[in-house]
Formats: sequence, structure tokens, C-alpha cells
Amino acid sequence: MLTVAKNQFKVSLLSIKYNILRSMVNKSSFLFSVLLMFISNASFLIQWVVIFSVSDGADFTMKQVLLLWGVIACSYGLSNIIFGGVHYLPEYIINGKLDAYLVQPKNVLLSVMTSHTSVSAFGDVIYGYVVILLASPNLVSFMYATLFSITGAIIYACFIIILYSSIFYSINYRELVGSLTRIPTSFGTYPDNIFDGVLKILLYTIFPIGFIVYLPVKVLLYNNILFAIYIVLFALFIVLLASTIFYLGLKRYSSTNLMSARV
Amino acid sequence: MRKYFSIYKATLLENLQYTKGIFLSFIGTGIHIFIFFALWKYLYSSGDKEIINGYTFVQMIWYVTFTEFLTHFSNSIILRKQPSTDISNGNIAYVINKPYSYTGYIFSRFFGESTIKLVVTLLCSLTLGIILIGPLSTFSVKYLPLIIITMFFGVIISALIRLIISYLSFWVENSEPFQWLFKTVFLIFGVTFPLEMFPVWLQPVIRYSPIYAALSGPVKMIVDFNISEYLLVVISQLFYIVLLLAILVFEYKKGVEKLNVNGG
Amino acid sequence: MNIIEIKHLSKTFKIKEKEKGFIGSLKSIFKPKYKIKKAVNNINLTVEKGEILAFIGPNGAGKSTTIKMLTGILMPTKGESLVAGINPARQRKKLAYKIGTVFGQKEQLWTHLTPYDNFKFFGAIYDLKNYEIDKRIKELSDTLELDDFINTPVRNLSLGQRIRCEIAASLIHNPNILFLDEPTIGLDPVVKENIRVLIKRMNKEFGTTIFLTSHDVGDIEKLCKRVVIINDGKVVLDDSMENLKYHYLNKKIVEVKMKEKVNLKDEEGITILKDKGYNLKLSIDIEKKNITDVIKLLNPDNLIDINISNEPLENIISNIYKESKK
Repeated sequence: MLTVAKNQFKVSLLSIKYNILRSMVNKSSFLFSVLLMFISNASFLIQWVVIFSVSDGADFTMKQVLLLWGVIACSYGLSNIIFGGVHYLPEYIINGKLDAYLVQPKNVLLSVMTSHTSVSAFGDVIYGYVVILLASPNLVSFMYATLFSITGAIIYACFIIILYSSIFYSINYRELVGSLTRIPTSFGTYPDNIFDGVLKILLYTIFPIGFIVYLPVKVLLYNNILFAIYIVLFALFIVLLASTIFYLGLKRYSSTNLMSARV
Repeated sequence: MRKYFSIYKATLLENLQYTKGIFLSFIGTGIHIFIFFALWKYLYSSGDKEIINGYTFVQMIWYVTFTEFLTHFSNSIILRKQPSTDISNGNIAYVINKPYSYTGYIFSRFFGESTIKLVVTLLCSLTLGIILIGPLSTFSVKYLPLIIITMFFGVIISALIRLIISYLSFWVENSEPFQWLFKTVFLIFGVTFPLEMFPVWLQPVIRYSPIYAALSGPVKMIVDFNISEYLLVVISQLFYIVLLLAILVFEYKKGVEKLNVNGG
Repeated sequence: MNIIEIKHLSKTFKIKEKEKGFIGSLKSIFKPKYKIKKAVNNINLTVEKGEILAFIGPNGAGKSTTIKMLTGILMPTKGESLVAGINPARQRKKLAYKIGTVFGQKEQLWTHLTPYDNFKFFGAIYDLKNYEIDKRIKELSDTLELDDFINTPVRNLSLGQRIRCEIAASLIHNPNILFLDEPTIGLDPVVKENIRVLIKRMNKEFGTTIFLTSHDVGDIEKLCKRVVIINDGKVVLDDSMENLKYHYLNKKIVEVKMKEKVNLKDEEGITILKDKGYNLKLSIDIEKKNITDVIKLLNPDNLIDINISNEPLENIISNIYKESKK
């Protein structure tokens, strides 16, 4: 069992390494994309300067906003570096490309997840760390930031897998779930103070942005260890959920033909 | 002109099949508008204000709804991706020899696609706005023809900038990062906040920039019409259309020259 | 010893049928109609260890569906198969160590890496130790002649070199069976020939059983000792290549050019394929009619030119396809 896990880990790591090499084939283009992503993220701070100029009476702070941006950029970036393949899931399912992974003696879901890396994601991660350390320059923050990058990356990737697994049942869901995948990054860049009622509940359940960003920011702000434990537990839970849903879908994939081309 | 019209018609018919996709792509926009609704609701109520920088809550939401509406048009694969793809895979070499202008071809396709988008996105935007915030009392139908003109010019300006960036592919391998930059700059300085929200020293810079001509200016006329401001917006729009067209033509000419030297 | 045993293997698909037009699409949303398609219909087959088997049939005959069931990608609706003693439907991962696959134009290699790095990756997938991988790469490189380009990024290789690397990558774990789907598609004749020689060599040196599908008659004729033809999901022919040829080669094609017109009509053993007065093309069944008799019939003094040939395998196969369709 242990050697199986070890071998699996080795293959996934090699796959990620090769992806990164691929994204760096053209060095100048790579650096340019990373730099632009960094600038693009940074320029959103202007938006916050504007919001703070009219926010007397609001109970969110600049530090909180910086941490929000830092955590979401790290999670999203890290997810797109190591689990960038999740965004290709619709293509794999629709064009029958999962076949290639099904004839390999490895975990299909992990193979899919580690099959691609987004070039600009490095810019996100660098930006995320810079902003977090700007807002809270100490070792504890750095360690928390790293932990939450990992849990956030996992939760984000699992959220996308769950959405895209619906395509196993009908390719018509593709566009709908495609637009839903942007929800974490859209909501995650605003403090949860502005949301209330049912929406707030949704943000901690169906759209798990609470566990990707809001709770981690609370931990970074108030050093609340209990919240950190909740986050890790939720990450474990969503991994189980996502893999169960994916494998149910995969069963369908291997017993029906979604596309006539697969006959 | 007839050939461009037939390209327009063909694209229109082609896009008619993707109506569902256009409709669904509004979901992302809808989410964005909704978040701004939540943000402004919070800011207006926590500060206990009726008016922020001259805008009521209702005007602010309709402002975002319509800037998002305008952004939908220039966010087009035909402007953003097709020229880059045609240039990088060498297809453009075949197009150059055809008896029509490539830019004209792209624009005909863009208008074809935009016609469908106009219907679907307008319907969605109006519905969402009415549900979230209710009708806009400061809007007057008698200015509608004037507003349509300035909105149209605004779309043209964004489209020209998108295309100028796409033609950079003659020189750089990947022009996509520049497209992100364009999108981000427009989003921050044009889509989310009206001009009056920015620091005083920054306002004149934005006011005379293409962002105001393409986005904030025309949309301001919807939420708060003012004839002298209107004339200023239209004049700056015409100025930018001429300027950007000149840049585009020059850029394309240089690009094709470079292509001929290198043999594609 | 049988390395593949297929018993009553069947696969049916439900295909949604859509009526034309807008109303049709509406109808299909509320009351979908399904058509049952029997993609594979009760196939029985055994393959011996070390064999090179051609598994052919027209497009849509059920070839890919069968291969997908044998490799564990698709679950059968009925029946079962044993591949290297393993049931693909139950133990997909265990089976993966015993089989290799090259699926036509779908490439598995990373194009920005060299073949060497690719082999390292595939070696890791099959849990091989580093020294084992290197040893195996050496073997494969010798057999498939990869030395010249093993350190060139795959994207810079020619199509033929790429296919050789694809085959090598699928053999890295020394599988017992190799599934080759259209290995020579899109290659020029010289490269095709070269790939065939290498496949044959690999079969001999490693004892790998090869399950080959191809539309290229040359592949089948030059590589395979046994041919299985399927059509409409059923096996319509399962015979040795020799028998296939012998059985169908009792037909000869005779083309003649003559000084004067001859009046020849279809008779037993003779079929006129083409009659342009001075030029004739005949198909002769040599079991019923002797070639010399035919020439006598045409009058040898009248002949300017004569060409006697076997019926091409391509025609034989397409005739089998057509007949099985009836």
C-alpha cells in the first residue's frame, strides 16, 4: 500500500515537473506572462483605494483586503500550477481523452489533475506571498499562508472537479458549469462582511469560498487555530467527495458513449 | 460593401446557434454585477448615505450593469483570438491575397457576432437590473437615440483597441497577456466605478483617456444625461476612433511588410 | 497457450435520436427517443501467445469498441474476456502492467521533451526502477533504432520517428500484449515498410503478442499470419492469412490487348469485368476454367499484350465487407 502511494506520488511529481518545464520552454514569454499577471493582480489594489475612500462606517480593513487577495492568489495560483489539469476535464471527457489514462496503472483523477500547468499562475503565487507578507510580515503568517495555499488549492481543484463531473452525464452542462467555475475567484476577492443571509451560508457550503479564503484570513488576522483545523478537515472532506463523484462519473464514462465518435 | 455584408450575415447565422452559450456566458457577468450590488449595498447602508460622489445606489448599480454590458462586445474571440491565430499559423498569408481587407473581414464578423450579443445581453442586463434594484428614474427615453450613438462609438473604440493588440502578434509570439492587461485596466478604471469616484488628481487623466470614451462616458449618459457632457464625450470618441484607426492601418501595413520579408 | 480469450462479448449503446428542426429539439428534451446500437454483438475469439493478429473491419464495425473492452476502458454489456489471464472489466490497473497501447493518431508523448525523458516518465508510471528503465531504453532503442534522435525533443521529430517512439513508450514495461491501432496511418511507403520491419522484429525479440487494427492492407499482408474481420459487431471471418489468400486467390485477373475484336460472353468460370472492344479485362475462376483454355478462347495469334495477376487483397477484403453486409 505504501509503495503504491509512493510510486503514485513519484509519477504525479514527475508530471508536474514536466508541465513546468513545458511552460518554460520559451523563457521570455514565460517571464512576461508571470510579470503581467503580477501587475494585473496588483492593479486591483487601486480599486480598493477607491472603495476605502468612500467606506467610512465599513468594518473591513485594508489589512483584511490584502490578506484576502494574498490567500486567493496563492490558492488559485498553486492550484493552477499543480492541479491545472482540472480545467481540461471537459475536453478529456467529451473527446474521449480519458482513455489514455485508463490504460495506465495509475490513479486516473490524479493523472488528469497533474496533466497541465498554467504559465501565469506563478505570477499569482508570487503576488500572493508578497501581499500576505506585506500585510502581516512574520514567520507564523508565512507558515499559515503556505498551509492555506495548499488547502485552498485542493479545495478549489475539488470544487472544479465536482462541477465538471456533471459533464459525464450530459455534455450540455459544459457552458453552465464552466461559468460557475469562476465563482471562487469572483467572490473570494471581496470581504465576506458585505454578504449576508442565505448567500453567506452558500459561501461556506456549496461554493466553498469560506474555506478557501474567508476562514484563512480570519486565522491570519486573529491567529485562531480552531479555524485552521476546520479548514484542514474540510479539505479532507471535499477530497473524498470530489473523488467519489468523479469515479461515479467515470463509471458512466466506461459504460456509455457520450459521443458517437467513441463507438 | 456587399461582400462585407454577406460575411456579416454568415457570422450572424453561425452565431445564432450559440445563443445558448451567449446567454450562459452572462452568468459570469451577472455574478460580478451581483457582487457589486452587495458591496454598494453595504457601503451605502454602513455609511448611512443617500448619495456617494453624486451617485445614488440605484444609479451606481445601473452604471455597473451597463459598463458590463458594453464590455461584453469587445470580449470577443473574433477580435481577441482569431487574428492572433491567423497570424501565428500563417493563414493570414492566404487572406492577404483575397479581394477584401482583412480588417474589414474581422469587423464584419465582429458585427455579426455583436448583433446576437446585443439582443441576448441587453435582455439579460435589463432583467437583472430590474430584479436587483428596480427602474432607473433618472433615465429619459427622449435621449435614447443620442445614447445609442455614443454607445455604438464606445463599442467601436474597445474593438479597435482589441484588434490593435491582436495585430501585435505580427511581432510577439503571444499577444494574450496584453489582452489581459487591457481588460484589467478597463475593468478597474472604467467598468466598476464612475469617474467621480477616483482621486481628484486622477480624474482628468481618466476623463481624456480612451477608457472614458469607450466605457464610462457613454454609460454616464444613461444614468445621468447632460448635453454638454454628451458633446464632450462624442467629440473625444470621434477623436479616438480616427486616431485608433490610423494606428491600426499603419500597424497592419507594417505587419504585412514584416511577413513578406520573412516569408511568413 | 491463449493470451486473449473472448467469450460472447457484447456492447450495446443507447443513442439519443433527435428529430429535425426546433420542434424536434424541444421534443427530444421532454420525451427523448433512444436507439439501441449493438456496437459489438457476441464476439468469440482466442489469440495465442506470440501471435500477430490483424483485427480489421470497415469504419464503425466495432473494432475500437472491442479494443476498448479488452484494455479496460469500456465495460462490456454482456460476456467477458480474459487478457493475460486478467478480466479487464474487473482489474483495470493490474491489466495495465501487462498490456501496451498505441492508439493511432492520439499521441501520448510529451512533445516538448526528448524521447528519453518520455521513456523515463512512462517507466515511472509502471513502477520501474531507474536502472531497469535505462536497461529497457537501451533494448528498445536497439530494436526500434532510436539512437539517432533519442535526445531530440519529440516536436522536432518526423512522423515516422514519432511513431517509433510511441511504440517504444508503450513497450517500456515489457507488456505481454501490444494493441496497435492504425500504426502506419499518414506515413509514406518507405517509412511504413520500415515500421513494419521493426514491429516484426519486436514481436520476435520480445515475444510480444500483437493485436493490430489497420485499414492498410500492406500492414495486414506483411505482418499478420491471422486475420479476423468484423462487421456490424460480428466476426465474419477468422482465418489464417494463407487460407484467406488461397481461398480467394483461385481468381485471376486477365487483361488482354488484341488485334481484332473478339466476341466473348460470360460463361462458367469467366466473368467479363471490362470490354472495350480491343481491350478486355476478365476475372477467371481457375478451379472451373483453365488459364490456357481462356487464352485459346481468345486466340493466341490475336494477342498483342497479356497480363495475368492475382486479385489484390484489398479487393478481397472489401468484397468480404460487402458480402457480410448483406
